[in-house]
Amino acid sequence: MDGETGLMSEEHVFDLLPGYALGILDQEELSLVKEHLQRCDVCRSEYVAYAETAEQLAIITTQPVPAPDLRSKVLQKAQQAEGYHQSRSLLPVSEKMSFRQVLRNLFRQPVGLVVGVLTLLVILILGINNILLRQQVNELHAQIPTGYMQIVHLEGSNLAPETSGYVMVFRDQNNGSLAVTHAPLLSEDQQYQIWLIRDGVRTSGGVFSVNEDGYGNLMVSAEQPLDSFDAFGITIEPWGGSPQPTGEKVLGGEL
Amino acid sequence: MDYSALDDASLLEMIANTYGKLNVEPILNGALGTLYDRYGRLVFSVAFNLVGDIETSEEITQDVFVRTCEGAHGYRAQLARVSTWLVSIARHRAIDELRRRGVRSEQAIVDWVDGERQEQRDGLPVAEGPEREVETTLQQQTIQQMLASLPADQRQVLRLAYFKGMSHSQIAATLGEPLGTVKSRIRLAMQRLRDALQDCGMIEISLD
Repeated sequence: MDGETGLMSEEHVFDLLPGYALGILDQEELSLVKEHLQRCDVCRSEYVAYAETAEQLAIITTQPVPAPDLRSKVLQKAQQAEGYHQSRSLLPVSEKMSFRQVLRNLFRQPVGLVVGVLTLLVILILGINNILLRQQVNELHAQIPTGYMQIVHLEGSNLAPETSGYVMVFRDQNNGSLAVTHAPLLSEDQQYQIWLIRDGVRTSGGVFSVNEDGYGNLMVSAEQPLDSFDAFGITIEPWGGSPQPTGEKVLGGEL
Repeated sequence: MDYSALDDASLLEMIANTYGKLNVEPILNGALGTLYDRYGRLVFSVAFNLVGDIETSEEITQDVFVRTCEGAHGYRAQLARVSTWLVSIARHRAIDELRRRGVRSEQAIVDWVDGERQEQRDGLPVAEGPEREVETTLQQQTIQQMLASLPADQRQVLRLAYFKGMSHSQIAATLGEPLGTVKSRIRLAMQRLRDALQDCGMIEISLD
């Protein structure tokens, strides 16, 4: 088999590359191609062309819009994956078991009794120290605001019930991302304006327009962190925006 | 920091340098979030067109971006575009899911859209927004013409491979055709499409 594999490697794996780009190879073929591509520039280059072809085919498929919260799920999962790696135990179970056995054996031997008592004393001291450290960690955690990012969902008012959107707010950041969909088209002398509301005071966060599909987005900016505001509202204003809202609210949401 | 101003390769480099490290979550989130903004829908669509349900497609999308983080160190910009890489991961992950289930998805999607069929599927709104620009539309029309020009038997096997994720042998069994014939048709179909796309300048011509 090695001889055959070697022969295939020398002759390249051109015939399998289209299937690899489509992801349809069976396990044996897959292993062969992956291994070959590690060291064959010619086949790797061929593969990239087929992979780009498969990518182009994706452009003309039905392209559903994922739910708005998928973005935050993706980021959350990436964090969880990291957490998993960081919190993994470094000792295999079998080694932990052998440690328990060592302790048990220690108490069974008369000579080891003193050592055993001392060991227990050290464990007790370490345990108390651990509790104190945990308390300190909890106190520090309590001082840290939870959640790095918050999605504020915006709901359409009676004026535009089909419209929806969200503002992505980052902790202690003066900038955030706004996206709206299905917003009514405006006349050429009008634009949407987002208002950042705190204690009833409204501050402009920027103006934006929407395309013919009613889709629009904006990098919202303020002089204070966006998560310090109570709510967001969007109104229709004259082109360029107004110092204070003059139109009716189209969208709104609370932090 | 304006992550949207960075190119894909720079975002991946940023992800590679921050993934798994403490106290750099804002940078990782910024870079990964921007990459998702660019390709999240494409990845989700690739998965949805194979597995056919929203929940699994969301799970696959999450996995693809986690794998992207894990593999960011190994990405080489000169070998493939980030979008190509993401689509490839998404297809392999979705087909793995189909094979794990052991049953074939019965989703309604079994063919490429013809440009006019932008309709609702399973309650999901289809393509809309700024992506639907003139350039994209022309690009889509070109690819549709290329597909239409394929012989019917080549298009048939390509469709089963692309939307059902069937292996060569599964397609051969489904169609009652010899395995070699199926392999040959898929290879010829992909070669024709690749050559046509290269002729149009829609994909790079290899210099190796």
